[in-house]
Amino acid sequence: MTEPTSSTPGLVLTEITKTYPGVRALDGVSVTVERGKVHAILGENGAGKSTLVGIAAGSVVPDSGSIGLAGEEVARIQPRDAREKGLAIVYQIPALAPSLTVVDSVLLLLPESRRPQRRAAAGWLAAHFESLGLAIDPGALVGSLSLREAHLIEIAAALASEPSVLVLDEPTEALGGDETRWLFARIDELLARGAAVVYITHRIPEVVEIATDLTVLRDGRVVGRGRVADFSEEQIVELIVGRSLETTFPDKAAVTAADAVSATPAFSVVDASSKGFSGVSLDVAAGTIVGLAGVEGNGQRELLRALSGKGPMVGTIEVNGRRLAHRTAKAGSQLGIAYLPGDRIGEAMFGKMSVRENVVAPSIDLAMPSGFLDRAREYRLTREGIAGLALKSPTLETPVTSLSGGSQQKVLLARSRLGDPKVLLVEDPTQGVDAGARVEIYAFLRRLAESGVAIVVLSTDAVELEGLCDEVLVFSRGRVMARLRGDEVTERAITGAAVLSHHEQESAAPTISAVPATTRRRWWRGEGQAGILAALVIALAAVTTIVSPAFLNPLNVSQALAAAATLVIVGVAQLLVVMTGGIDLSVGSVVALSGVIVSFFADGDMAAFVVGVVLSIVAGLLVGVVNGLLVTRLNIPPVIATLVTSIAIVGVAQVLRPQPSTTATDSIMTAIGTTVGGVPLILVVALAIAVVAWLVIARTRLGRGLRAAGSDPVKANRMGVNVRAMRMFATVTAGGLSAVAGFALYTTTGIGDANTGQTLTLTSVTAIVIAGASIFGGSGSAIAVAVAGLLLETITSALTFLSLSLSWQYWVQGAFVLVAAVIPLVARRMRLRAIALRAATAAPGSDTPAGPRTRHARSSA
Amino acid sequence: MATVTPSGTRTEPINRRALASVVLSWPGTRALIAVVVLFAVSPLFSLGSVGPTAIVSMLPFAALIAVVAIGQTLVIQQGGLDLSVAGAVTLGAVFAAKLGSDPNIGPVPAVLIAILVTSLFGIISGLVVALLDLPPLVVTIASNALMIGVVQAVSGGFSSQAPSQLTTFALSRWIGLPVLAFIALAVVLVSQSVLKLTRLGRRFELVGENRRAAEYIGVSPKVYIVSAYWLSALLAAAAGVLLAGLLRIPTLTAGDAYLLPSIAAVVLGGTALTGGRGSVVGTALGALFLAQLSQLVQTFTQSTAVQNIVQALIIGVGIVAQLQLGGSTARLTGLVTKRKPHPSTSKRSVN
Repeated sequence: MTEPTSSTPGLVLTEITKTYPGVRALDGVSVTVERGKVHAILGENGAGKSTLVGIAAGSVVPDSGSIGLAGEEVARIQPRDAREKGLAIVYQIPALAPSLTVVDSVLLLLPESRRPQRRAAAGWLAAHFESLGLAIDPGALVGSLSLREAHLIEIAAALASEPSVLVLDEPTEALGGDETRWLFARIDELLARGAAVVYITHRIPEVVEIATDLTVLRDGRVVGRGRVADFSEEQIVELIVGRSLETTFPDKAAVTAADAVSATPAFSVVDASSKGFSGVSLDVAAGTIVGLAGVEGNGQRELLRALSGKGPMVGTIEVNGRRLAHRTAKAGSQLGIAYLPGDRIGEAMFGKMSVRENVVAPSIDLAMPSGFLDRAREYRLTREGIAGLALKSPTLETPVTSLSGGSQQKVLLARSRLGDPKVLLVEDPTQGVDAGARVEIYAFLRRLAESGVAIVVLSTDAVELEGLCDEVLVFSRGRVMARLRGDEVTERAITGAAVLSHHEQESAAPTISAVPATTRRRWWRGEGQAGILAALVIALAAVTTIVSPAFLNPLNVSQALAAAATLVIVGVAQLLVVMTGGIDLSVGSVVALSGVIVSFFADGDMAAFVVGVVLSIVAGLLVGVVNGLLVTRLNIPPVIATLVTSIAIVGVAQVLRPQPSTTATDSIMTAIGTTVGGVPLILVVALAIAVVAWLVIARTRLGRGLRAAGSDPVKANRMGVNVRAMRMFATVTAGGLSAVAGFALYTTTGIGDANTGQTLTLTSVTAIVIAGASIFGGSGSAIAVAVAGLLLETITSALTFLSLSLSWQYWVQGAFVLVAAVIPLVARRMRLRAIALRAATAAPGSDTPAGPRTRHARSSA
Repeated sequence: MATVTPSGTRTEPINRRALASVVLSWPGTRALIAVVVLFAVSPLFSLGSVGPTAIVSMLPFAALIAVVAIGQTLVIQQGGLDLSVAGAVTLGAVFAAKLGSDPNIGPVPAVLIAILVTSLFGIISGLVVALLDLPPLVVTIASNALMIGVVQAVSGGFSSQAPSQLTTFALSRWIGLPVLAFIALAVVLVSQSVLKLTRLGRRFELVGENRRAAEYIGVSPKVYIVSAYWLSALLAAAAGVLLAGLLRIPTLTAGDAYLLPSIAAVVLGGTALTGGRGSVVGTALGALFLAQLSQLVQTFTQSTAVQNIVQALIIGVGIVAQLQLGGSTARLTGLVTKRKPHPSTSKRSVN
């Protein structure tokens, strides 16, 4: 390690405090990271490490304190500014928006000065990956990558930005041995150039190997700092845990090894296999606690979940000799299996409901034997459940979200105890729990075991497993690699077995698997849909012409094409909003308003008419601004915000034109009805808008930002995208475009009518759905939307010629939306299955898709 | 056991706070305050707006909004949103008018057909949402289109007159008050009781609050989700039938006017749009608020256009106020009593 010659530190965090509801995540934490050194930040789960580096990187806003970066001191920093100032961060869970390609993601992550031209980017990135020894296709979608691949890409992007401060949050969790050595070599290069490195890890040996300084956090406070060389590994562990292991953990089960063998197991699993694990057998005797360990992503989580009864699994599960017959969570709980998921907010708690309702939730039959509420009985049951848990809550009616992490976990433990469980499966029991509550939870688990329950605990914390478990199974690639019993259960043996087995796996396949660049998948992505829709247009037109040749007469075609222009434009408008994760139900109303405004200027000369068109567009933009402010500033859900503005705008249009007007002069109608070679000029304009929108979305930095914002706002923010600005841009542009669509409609009718246009809102949603744009945001092709607009108009005008009633127009649209919405979901499921298959056959077991989990992460952030 | 036994000195949580503060924390309480305030200020604008005649003419509309909005509440509780209530109201109305005036069918079978057939579309929406996990917004936009298609097919594009029995019933009174108000009251009482006092209702709320957590504790969510959409369509159709009676000749867009109020009533009533715990009583009070508001606006202008604008504005303000106050009474009391602001700015979901 080279000693720094001089100069200011790379990163200075001063007196940082951050509070989340119920938790003080950081309390006056100060850290100084010197240049040319690796500074390790250590602590248990939930000690505040990730929050601290999130604050340095700008993705978390501190309540107080200051951030010193590149010689400047600020109270808060935007993610983009942090990156521009030379701070690169690799998050524990890669912050890459799933609907972007690898090259788009890296371009967003790089600071201005390091960013190559878009055109050259793919080649540059391929070269960069190659220089790092990675074989990753720059054109692949992030959502189709495994967690490990996504991790490597984030590391590669961080290295490409040549940072002066590099923050690594548990970087080696998802990496193998060779990759870890590769990463350490890159870190050494950076140090030689005078960069500062912040390194978060659970793995003490790594700290000893590369770090010079260390800071230890516990419950949001600094409890130790200094030079790594001054501490022994044992001292470091003791600092992290906060007290000697003896006082933290209860005594273990008194059963001897001989007893354990002779006793019939309360919980017995034979040869369990499913996605992520295979051939796992385990026996848990009543009164004992068995731990599951291993490097993240090696099947232990999947196993625990499958043991609860949910999801497909091969193999047998028996509780006290009774076999689990059906693969449902319900069947599992009927057998006496209780499962406490690690994602408390997402999968375990009923957040807004009270302590009482949460505790009795699985025991409703017990709480309401007659089927009707008996409040006194519920209070009694709740008190039974929380007895001895020292739950800190003002009342039993307090919503559980307002409790601390420790109290929440206690509520869940109380819940699982009530149903008289035979088996308790707990995932990360002390994640986000303060040190005091930890002790109480450990004691509770041990008491529960002593009362005759078989307990299985999954934890990422080897120290916790050592202190709590009678037996520990260490997983690698979905199999049990080591079974540690009695005195063998030590932190060192657990991490040793996990890391060792992992390394052996890795060295067998040292090169990082390339993502197969199938052209088929890219073809499906966006524009392929346009081809299918175009084929449908032609087929429908052909059929209609055969039935009724009059369909193809020039007048009808010209009218249909002009009418299609309106649909194309509203479709593109809706696409922009939906792409950023919103929806605009005011599209139709703006069309009506715009037509009404234009109609006031249509009875004079051309100059006045142009003024009218400009005014209508200004009005549309204003509506967009109002929508945008309601959504981004007042946090009103987009549906409701735009529904309200929609009704107000129709009202305005009705006030302006209580009766439809037909005052347009012939000269103006002729001018705006101009055709170019039989194609109405307005359609040309509409298609031009679609092409420009397509280029912006696919090719520009703005487009990348729009897609990222819609794909995953939290990750987009971490990538440095201003999500609010993107949403604002989308709604304002959509307002303006809807006004243009109003003008397009006017060119075909010449009528300013406040009551037209309402159905266009439905049509715009239909258009983007059948164009294959993701309804959840993040992707979509404006070209496909344009073709979808043409298709919808073809349907409308074909109906009359096929002598079908107006009803069919609605039915076809409704059915189209449903069918078109189902297709991408099916495609996504197939893609996920393909990833799983690839993970199972080729790469190590750590491959879990990076994409799908993000949707749930959104709300819990 | 090594060291830890629960310390006996620590105060155990009490069952619940004092009654007054429990009542204050009900989501419907704010809606009640809003209704009381609105009725209190109404005479300042127009003396007639709180007179018996005005109240009696307002109540049927409040009742219809309430019935539709209760269905909407159930769907929103399941984390969804039902944009097809507009189509369902219209379809119910058109079925009742068209089939009811057909001497071969008669009013009673017509009403049954109107409610049951329309509710089938709710089942379709619910199945698609629950089984295929499609976004409710898109699904209900589609099912709305399907229902409007049926409206066109049944009506042939023309409004028809509701049977006289239906009109007589819808306009009738009971102890001096419109019968529709009693129907709405019954719907409110039944649904609130089922939700809050029974096992079924508790499970419904658990699923709405956290579908995955409910599944892990052995409650199958799908049936609750489907039934929410089914009940929403059923209640909207029933409101449509009554609306047909009230209007005599329901238009083919009669239901459109009920979409925004149905959502607004839910929000004003304190049910979170993110789903979970809800208050049907709050929703009904929200409906009463909206109907009285519309009554008040009508005394100023006969133009529906202006009424729409003013209502949209006030609904917008109401929604913003309710959402900004959040679900917590702490913020409400914080508005009156000055206290130290909570250090954390709770980070909202950007959505």
